[in-house]
Amino acid sequence: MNDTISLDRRLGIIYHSAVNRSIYERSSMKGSLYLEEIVKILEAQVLLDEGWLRGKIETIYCSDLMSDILSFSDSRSLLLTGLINPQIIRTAEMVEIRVICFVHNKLPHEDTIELAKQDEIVLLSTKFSMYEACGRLYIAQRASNIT
Amino acid sequence: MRRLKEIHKIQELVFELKVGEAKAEKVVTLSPTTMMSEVRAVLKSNKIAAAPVIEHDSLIGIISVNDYINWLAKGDPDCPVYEKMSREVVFLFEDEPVVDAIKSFDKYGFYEFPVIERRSGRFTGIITRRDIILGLLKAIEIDYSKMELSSYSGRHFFNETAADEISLLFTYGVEGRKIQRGGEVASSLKRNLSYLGIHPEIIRRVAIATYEAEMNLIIYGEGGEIGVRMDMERINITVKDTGPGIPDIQKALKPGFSTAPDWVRELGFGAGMGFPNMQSCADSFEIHSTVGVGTTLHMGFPLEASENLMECNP
Amino acid sequence: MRLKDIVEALELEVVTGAKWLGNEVNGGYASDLMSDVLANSQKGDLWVTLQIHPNIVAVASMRELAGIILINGRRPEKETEERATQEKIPILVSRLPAFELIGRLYQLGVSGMRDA
Repeated sequence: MNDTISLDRRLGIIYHSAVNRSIYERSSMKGSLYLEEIVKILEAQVLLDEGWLRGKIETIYCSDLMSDILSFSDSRSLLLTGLINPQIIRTAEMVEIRVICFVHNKLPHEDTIELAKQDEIVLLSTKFSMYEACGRLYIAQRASNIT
Repeated sequence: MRRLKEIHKIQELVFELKVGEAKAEKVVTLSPTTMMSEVRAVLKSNKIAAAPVIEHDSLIGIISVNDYINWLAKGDPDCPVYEKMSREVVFLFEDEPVVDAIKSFDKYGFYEFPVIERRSGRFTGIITRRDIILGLLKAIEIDYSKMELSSYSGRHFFNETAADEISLLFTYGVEGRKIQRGGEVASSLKRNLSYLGIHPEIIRRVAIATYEAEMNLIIYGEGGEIGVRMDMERINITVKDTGPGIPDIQKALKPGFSTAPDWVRELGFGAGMGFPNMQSCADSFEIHSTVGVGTTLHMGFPLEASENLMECNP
Repeated sequence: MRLKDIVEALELEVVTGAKWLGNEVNGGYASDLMSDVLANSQKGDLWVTLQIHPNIVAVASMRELAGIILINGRRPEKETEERATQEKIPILVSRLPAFELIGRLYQLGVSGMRDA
């Protein structure tokens, strides 16, 4: 029975590295960015930080159309949008988007922020236009070399 | 609590994963007529410590580095490996669980074992410690995804509750024009379904379809009611309003068709994808409408996620 | 940069406006909200959007934009196409999603920076 106990401990370590390995493989192929980097690149203001700033972003979406956003499926994503009404939070919540960045210095309504707080969604605001923000992030993603 | 469950899963894997599943098939073997002098090159270039001696798919012996060194040290003339190999080979069967392999590694101190198919006695490969680790890692990955699927079971609630037939009914009222409250029902429903342990992909579909329906009620339908009925097989959603009704249903169902006023578009709605989104999320979709009377929608979703559940891509 | 160069480089489909591909492109703008485009776009911008209703032509015309690119393979409504031909606004289609398309435009040198 001694064998079994030491095996568990060894396997415990194996389990951890298996999980970490697959995340690494996924991200290095897609050129992901750390949220902190994105905040810097976009010179963004952090409106609501849900402790997510250390997270990695795999996909960047941009849209001002609710039905379009409803088709986004990657939850490790950041949404760039010009929509500041509370429905944007509801829509993001439906598809599990956790980070929203408003473009062109737009600031969300009070109730939008409230809703985001309830749903634990990170809110950022950048001075750049949607176009410029996308462009910069695109370049950064391609250059990204996360190890 | 989940952590503990996962570790126990791994413990089980050690008993479930078979030697045959973890072994390496493309292996280096020697024939009985291979000369001893060739052994060194074979072992060295393949970076192995021993090679099985195979004749007609049968394992007849094993030659290790030690055997080679002993032969060299004695200074005997060159001969076929047949003469110097160990005939008492410790091997494992294909169908044995890897836990036995692990115990054998510890017991004998060897680095690898030949693997034999039990019934035919055929030699089928070699298993090393590394193979076991890789096999477990692979099995964990597969198991992990299966675990995800099975830990969500809509039936769970129904199974725990005793009755001949069970159905759950949620009813939500939606006020017309109150656009700032749009999405509240979909959000509530999403939460309720997750409490009931419904699979996340099903919840996603239901939430998206309900959200679209809810916004329609608010923007066009002058408010209405959303009824959600769950039984052991399906989730049925009925959306009713007493609004203006839809004059041309076929037209309304076309992607991109919208009667949205500008102020609605400015809020990001009105792209005309509401019905198409609902149709792609739901398994069944029915719409009835009479101008001047109102509109009724019926949507059906499965309760259980099946293996080939496609992601709803509206 | 001329619209023609961009069409070639990104293999865009020209739905209408082949005659005006000589338009000079001064920058890029992306938005699906009409009020946004009306307020913030500039003359000569190439507009990236998902919207296919006829209002987009009115807006593009008012702001004297270089052209409209529809993403995700979206096709303009019939009325939109007709109006675009009348107003001389090129409408192009890309199969790419917004982020990808914008990124590539950006790489080509179509910037989104505005003069303060």
